[in-house]
Amino acid sequence: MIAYDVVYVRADSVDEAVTAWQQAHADGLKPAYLSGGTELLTAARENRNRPDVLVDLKRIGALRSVTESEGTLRVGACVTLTEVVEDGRFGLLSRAAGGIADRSVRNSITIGGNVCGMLPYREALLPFLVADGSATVAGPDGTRSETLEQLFSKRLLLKPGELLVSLSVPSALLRAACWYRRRERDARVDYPLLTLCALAAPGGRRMAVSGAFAYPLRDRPAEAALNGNGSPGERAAAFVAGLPNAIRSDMRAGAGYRRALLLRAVEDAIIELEAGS
Amino acid sequence: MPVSMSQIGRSVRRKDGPDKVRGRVRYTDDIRLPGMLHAALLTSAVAHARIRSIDIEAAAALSGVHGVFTGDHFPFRVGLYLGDKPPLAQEKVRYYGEPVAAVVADDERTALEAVRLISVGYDELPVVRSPREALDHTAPLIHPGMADYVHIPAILPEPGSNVSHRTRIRKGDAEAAFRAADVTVEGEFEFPPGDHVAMEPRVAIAEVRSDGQVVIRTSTQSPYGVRAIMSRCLDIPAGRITIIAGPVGGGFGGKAGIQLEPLAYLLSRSVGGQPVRLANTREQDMVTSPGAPGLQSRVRLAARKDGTITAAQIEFLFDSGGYADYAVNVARAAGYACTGPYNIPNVTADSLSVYTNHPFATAYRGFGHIELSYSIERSLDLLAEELQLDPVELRARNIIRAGHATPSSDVLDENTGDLERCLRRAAAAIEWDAGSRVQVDAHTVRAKGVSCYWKAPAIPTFTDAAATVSFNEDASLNVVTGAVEIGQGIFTGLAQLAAERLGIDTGQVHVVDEVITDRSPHDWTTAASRTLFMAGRAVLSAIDDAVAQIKRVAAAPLRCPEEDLEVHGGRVFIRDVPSQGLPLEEVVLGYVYPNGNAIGGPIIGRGRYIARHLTGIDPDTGQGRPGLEWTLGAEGVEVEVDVRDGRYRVLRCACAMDVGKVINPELARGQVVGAMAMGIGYTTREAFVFDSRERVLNERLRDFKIVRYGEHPRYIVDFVETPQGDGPYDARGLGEQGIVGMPGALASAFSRAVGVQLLRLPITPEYLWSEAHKASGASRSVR
Repeated sequence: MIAYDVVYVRADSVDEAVTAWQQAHADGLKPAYLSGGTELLTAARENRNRPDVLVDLKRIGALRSVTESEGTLRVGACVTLTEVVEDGRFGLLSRAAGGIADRSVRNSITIGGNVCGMLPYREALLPFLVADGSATVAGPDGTRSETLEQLFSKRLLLKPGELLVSLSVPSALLRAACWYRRRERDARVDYPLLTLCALAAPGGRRMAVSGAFAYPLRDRPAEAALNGNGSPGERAAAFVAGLPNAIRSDMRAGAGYRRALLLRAVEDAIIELEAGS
Repeated sequence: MPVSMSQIGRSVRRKDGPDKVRGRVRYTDDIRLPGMLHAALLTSAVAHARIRSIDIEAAAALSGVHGVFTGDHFPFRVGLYLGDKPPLAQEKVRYYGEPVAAVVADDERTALEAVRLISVGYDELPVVRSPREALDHTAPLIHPGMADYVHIPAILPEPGSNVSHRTRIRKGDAEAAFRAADVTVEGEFEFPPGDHVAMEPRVAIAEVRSDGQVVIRTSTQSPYGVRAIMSRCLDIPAGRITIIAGPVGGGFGGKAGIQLEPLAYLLSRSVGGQPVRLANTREQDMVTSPGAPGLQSRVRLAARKDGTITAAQIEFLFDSGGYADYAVNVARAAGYACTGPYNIPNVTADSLSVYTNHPFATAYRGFGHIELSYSIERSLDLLAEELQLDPVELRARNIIRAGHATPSSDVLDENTGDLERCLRRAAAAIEWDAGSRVQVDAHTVRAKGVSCYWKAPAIPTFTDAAATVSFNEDASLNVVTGAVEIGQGIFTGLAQLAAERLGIDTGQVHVVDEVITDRSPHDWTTAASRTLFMAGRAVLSAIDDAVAQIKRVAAAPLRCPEEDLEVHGGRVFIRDVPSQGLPLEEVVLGYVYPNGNAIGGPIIGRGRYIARHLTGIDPDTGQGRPGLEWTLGAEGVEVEVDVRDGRYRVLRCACAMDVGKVINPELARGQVVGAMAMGIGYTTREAFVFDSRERVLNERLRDFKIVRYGEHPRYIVDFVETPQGDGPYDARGLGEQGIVGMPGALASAFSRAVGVQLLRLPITPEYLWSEAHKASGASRSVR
């Protein structure tokens, strides 16, 4: 049970949502954007993170579609993971989205919720990171589109009151050879110990990782190792050694195991992407 | 109509099945009474602390709140065997999740809001992290007042220590046998506490009626136990307590004994007797209410070169957590069953229940036998490795049989099952002889493991059951017992027994599916895999009583001696002239002569059962007869492991069990498959993770994983039928047993896969990976 009152606002447009958020904020209340609701509701049940006002984005048509035009695929923030999986135009995204939670929960989780929510792993972002994706966000200062390289560091760098409108990738990369792996502690429906998305772009191989860290990471300098010489195992070791971030250790697994999973995944990705090219 | 086909050994569709699959069963959790108030708990955020202060002012001031209560309000100590637990913490908290304060409010939401407004000041105390640490003389005493606790005579607490109970087994001369042994092996094993994860969280709705009658609706396996313990600990005459137990949404031992009922009653009493609903959240059900005990154990085996085991020295340290609850008796049962189903002439064992600062432990399917079995089966594998013997043959050589004596020197009688046959069948089911370890490719290994197990009900010597049988106009029966439906299908099994006795269809037998303690006859508890056996015996006895009454009434109109009559197929008739008889409809509510005269009256059959020949066990040597009937069985599993990252699949799980007689094959198979599935979870994941201050980190289902659909292996269930002469139609208990051997068998298979003897649970991919890596350096092999 959620044991407190919330004000529920159903926005019909992005402007209306942003305005509602601002209004609540100005009134001294704590607003939150509501999408699939899976995290907000479970946190509220445990009395964590209690927003006063929920601004529901799910009815905003502009956020609910996947469109492709002018060489860009745009995924609206309120498209559910199930819809993304079934859309299939961005194969790597379909696979990454399909690895999250279970089917009935994916029917609720939206891509925006996965990327902007409270849970750290944000796996749906990994395909966009390796495909040089961009994000469009809207807020009190209007709408802006920026590359994820600029707008993402462990999380989307949103200003107060901003919401994610869509994520986009160049159509040219949708068909590039790609590779995906996800590993859990034991049960498949669980948070990842490792999720790796790899893409063979014309300029070279790229990889983005979550699970091994409590956030998605694409480290461009480290990627140089992927495209260098040496055996796949040596390149994998060099890539992992080049990642500047400490590998996560928690109740699900130690850093040593996560590192081993990561090393193997990188090596397998190199081997299989090379075999396919 | 006479039924030619026997009702025994048929997969009669379970009576509660259609409602359950349609979601129509009303569990206690579904009940809402008019005028019902709601309670919510504030639970401890720390594992061991002195309570410095509790501020309830703001909570009490909230509109809709009827009362806010702390330990000071309820100066009682309640306990199943050992009265060590206050309904709300007094002075100290002893585990993370312990109830510290309770709110009663108009609705659940207000109660939860009020709980947020309570603030507690804690002075944290040093924590006790494990049973072994608890035994250290420098360990903090978790219950310094233990000497004052009331307990039953069978429980032997050791005041001035953290030991709430110790069972000693001294059989033969283990020391001499060790001195004479060709080989000895020793192993230490351990695993953390966990939870049952029953579908229905515990719930109790208590009210105190104006005449003082205490009425409690509760999700319980033990309505009569609740009544007795509440009477004893809270000083209420037993007749002033009525417990109502409907269908339970999963028990697994977690709803045996006493749970939320005393606190629900105290809260109701404190707000004027209105019904108060105290319901666990899932998280509270996992840590606030008791779960499965953890274990640290040490086993030494002495053997001859040919593999004959001559002696065992055993130490079991059960992690009971902050309170003793059922763990004291779990330790006792594990003590007198300590060797597993093997004939070991010389045994020294100490089985202890030890306080720690973990969530407290209660009965869990298997009741100490999973823990002992894991320790013994792992030790047998160590011995097989040492002697370079086949693990199946080593077990076969040492199997216990009729005429052998248990660790408590109880000689097994002619009713003992055929364990060797079970072992051979389980081994055959996983094709043990085709290879116990097969390299599939460079990094994938398939490996197998076997185990044997036993379990008798761990029950008081006077464990009882009773039944009444009455009749309807259509001569169908109403059977009332004190047995609770906890998912096991007991009412279907009892109906089959009754129908068989009367030669009628099971559909003619209506087993009343709610236990109300003031009208259902006494029954010890629905636990210990004894309900079909004991309530079954009581039902048969009630039928026999009713049949005798039917004959008495029918003798007059049929003009013959009672002893010439037979009741079968819905008729009472003259045995040697079957055409002369009466339909039961004309007798069971009284016989009416053509002129209107009537005789007889409604027939009510009464039946009862009480356990036979049981004794306590000697406090110094453990000698005695504590086990009514031992169910023996064997399990075999096959796993596939990728040694690069420890990822595995369980491919096959086989169980062969000597159940005496299968009453309902589908229900029996369901029980065994469910038990094996639970055993996979128990072995691989279902364990609490603690932080450095012994707070539980995974108290929610997103972090505490159970086996889901899609992960299940192929289950093979095979029954052996060596009759249990005193069981109903030769049957013995089978409800728990399928889990008992699983951790041993799985650990054996996983050990064989990675080439290292695994000694602890849970066996996760990470654990397999790390051991496989150690092994690849050491080049050991596990037979």
